[in-house]
Amino acid sequence: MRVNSGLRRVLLAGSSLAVVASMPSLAQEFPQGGTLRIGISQMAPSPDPVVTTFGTNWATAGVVCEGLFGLDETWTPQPMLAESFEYGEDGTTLTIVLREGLKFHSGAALTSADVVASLERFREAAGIGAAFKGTVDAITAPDERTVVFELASPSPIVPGLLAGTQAVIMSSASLEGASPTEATRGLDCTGPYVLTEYQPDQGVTMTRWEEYAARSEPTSGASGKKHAYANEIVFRLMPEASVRRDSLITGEIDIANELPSDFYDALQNDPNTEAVVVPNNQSLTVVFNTKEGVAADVNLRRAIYYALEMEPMMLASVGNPEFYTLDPSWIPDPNSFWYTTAGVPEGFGTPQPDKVREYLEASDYNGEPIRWLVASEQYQKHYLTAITASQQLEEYGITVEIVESPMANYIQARADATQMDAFSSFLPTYVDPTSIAYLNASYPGFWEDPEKLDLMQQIATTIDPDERKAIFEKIHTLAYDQFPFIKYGTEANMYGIRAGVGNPARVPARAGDYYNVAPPPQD
Amino acid sequence: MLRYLGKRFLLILPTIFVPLILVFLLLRLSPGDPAGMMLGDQATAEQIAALRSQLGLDQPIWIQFLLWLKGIVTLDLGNSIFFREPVMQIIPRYAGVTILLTLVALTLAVIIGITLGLVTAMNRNKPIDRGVVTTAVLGISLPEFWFALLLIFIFAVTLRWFPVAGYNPPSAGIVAFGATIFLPALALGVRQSALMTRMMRSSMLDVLNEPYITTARAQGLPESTVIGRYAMRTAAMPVVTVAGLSAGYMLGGAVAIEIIFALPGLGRMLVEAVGRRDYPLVEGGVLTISLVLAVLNLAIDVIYAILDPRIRYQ
Repeated sequence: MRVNSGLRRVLLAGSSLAVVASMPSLAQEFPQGGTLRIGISQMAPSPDPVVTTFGTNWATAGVVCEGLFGLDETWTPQPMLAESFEYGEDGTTLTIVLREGLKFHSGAALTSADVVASLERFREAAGIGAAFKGTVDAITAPDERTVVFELASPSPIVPGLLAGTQAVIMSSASLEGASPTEATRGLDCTGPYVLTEYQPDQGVTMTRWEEYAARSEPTSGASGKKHAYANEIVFRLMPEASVRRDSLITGEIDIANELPSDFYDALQNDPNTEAVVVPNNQSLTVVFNTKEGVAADVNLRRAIYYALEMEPMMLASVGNPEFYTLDPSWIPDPNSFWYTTAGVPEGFGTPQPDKVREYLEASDYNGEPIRWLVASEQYQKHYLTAITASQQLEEYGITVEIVESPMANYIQARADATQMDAFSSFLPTYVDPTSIAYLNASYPGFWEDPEKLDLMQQIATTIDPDERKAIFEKIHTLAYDQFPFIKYGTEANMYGIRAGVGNPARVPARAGDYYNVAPPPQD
Repeated sequence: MLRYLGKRFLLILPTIFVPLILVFLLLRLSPGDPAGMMLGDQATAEQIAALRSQLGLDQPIWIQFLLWLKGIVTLDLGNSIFFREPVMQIIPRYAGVTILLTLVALTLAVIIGITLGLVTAMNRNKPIDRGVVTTAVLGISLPEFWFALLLIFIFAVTLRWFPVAGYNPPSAGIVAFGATIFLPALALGVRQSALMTRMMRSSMLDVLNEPYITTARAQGLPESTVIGRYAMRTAAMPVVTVAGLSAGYMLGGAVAIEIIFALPGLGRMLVEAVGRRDYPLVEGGVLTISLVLAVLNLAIDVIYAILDPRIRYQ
């Protein structure tokens, strides 16, 4: 464990960090009023974000709720419900003071007891909650506005862990009867909108909360001032992408989420709609089983990396070169502090036959099929990349057996090291490298290399941001030597808007910030 | 008649239970589990195993079967794993939409089918007959999802007469309800109407050659009376059979239409429940569909008896 002597100097009080890192994103103000109608592709049976790690199911909570911190457009945590935060002398305690006068939608005052209740539940949840549990030994509330986190060791990552949607603060009364796997009834939170209706398999209605206490800092991502332009925000479930597109064209909705790039021309050619392309959205990847089976052979993984040509795989999956980049960074958004290309071999994305042969000879590979899992629900991202890769690998005598199954089977099979050798996946930008699922040794793929484990321990306990970045670059370099996972490229996200929609999100860090999006002028 | 109905009612029980038992076994024996789908793709194997244990999914399958059987007998279908509310409360919310969709689609199909069948039979081998028969063959061949997208393009996107998708319940007003149910019902019903058109046409042609029709005409009865009072009643028998089968088909096959038009119906709910491995909800959905189909078949048999007095079930 490394303890930085300048801990307190480096970890400034939260308010000063907020000023430094916030980046105002609004060029103009918009009038309040109207209804913002959004066509979404899927919704969860419950709006509670704690009970699932499927990020697509957090959209409602992202509008209605807030956490102690929120991420700005550089993916840096900024205080939200917190007024300030400060680490203790030895770095093993973090004290957060709450903003004064905050209330929940129910009218109850927000106190430190609510924070403790919410975060105790979050600690037991899957995903980031597990990382939080491993970092924080205890959460206490010495008074109504103060929360103290006792850390297992000095760690700078707590604000980042608390900036995620799963770490939102709900009233302790609303958590009665709920558990980390049992959802709350409704959401009693502090955000700018109140959840007024949640109909699974139909839609969501959220109404502006006039008593919302906005922060005064400039808006940046999910941090700073939240404008709450629309009187109402309505999510309408439309599973079919073409129906979302058509509903946008006919003016039934103002925003159509998650559209395939094939619809770009149709939306651009209509004077009433616009296709918004958000670059650097997420990495398309394959994750290998490093624990057992044929892919546990590091030389085979190296041979696979050097055999792959990334451009055809991205083209097969995304369909249009304007919607992807061949960027090797494991942090897809260059706006992130953690973005790096450290350790990437020269000529990323171009096959190198000599190296393929060299590593194949050094491996124990004898033509056994690589069992490559893909989820049928993710045909474009999973299957099309896998089938293109298998064709490329076949030229070198590496055989792939694509195992396509529904998502439920895929999730179960990939968790069992005996059932798979590789699986298709994708990875967004994370707030901190310690949150990256692939780097968790118990995540499917099971990358337990001792050097990596040591580096992960170092990055989790090192305080200085620049030192942490240097450690992450070592991890990045190690990943580009051992290839526990391979990235093909970074894909953009495309969605559609009606003309007149104000301040639509154009960077990945703003995904879901509908409280800062203005509806088009109403007739 | 009552004795017959009693016997038929008893036969419904195995008709319902056999698919239920099959569904129970297939769900448990197929890979994938609700715990993984609940926790999501970032959950670790340990977290999934802990939730499996909490949900009782790690119990031997025969214990799960006995618990399930006890629930069925006591009319307790359990709680949905994902919604965390009783299945008996969830199913009616979704089944109502599908039943309404089926009723409207069936009504459209019967009206279109009987009308066109009658018109073509009365104009045998004329251009209108050939045109309608050709269109009917085309209608039977068209996949419903394709026809649904075509309807959306024409009537919602181009003409803007109807909304593209969504659902307003009847409580929102008949106009609002009709606006959201008409296109899905038409998409669902058009294939069945094509079947009914052909059935009605051939049946009508047969009946029109029957001696009693010739007798009626010879007695100088008006053509409308001959057709409406004598021919149609007999000719409608096979159409009733097709209508019954169509209703069953539409109840179980509305999934694609419900997904395209974003209708919160039973078919879509069932598909999503299967995807999530929400065992109690899938079993409840299958039970509902089995029950409705069984009752529907019984109703068709009763209608037979009413329409055709020669049928004696004794």
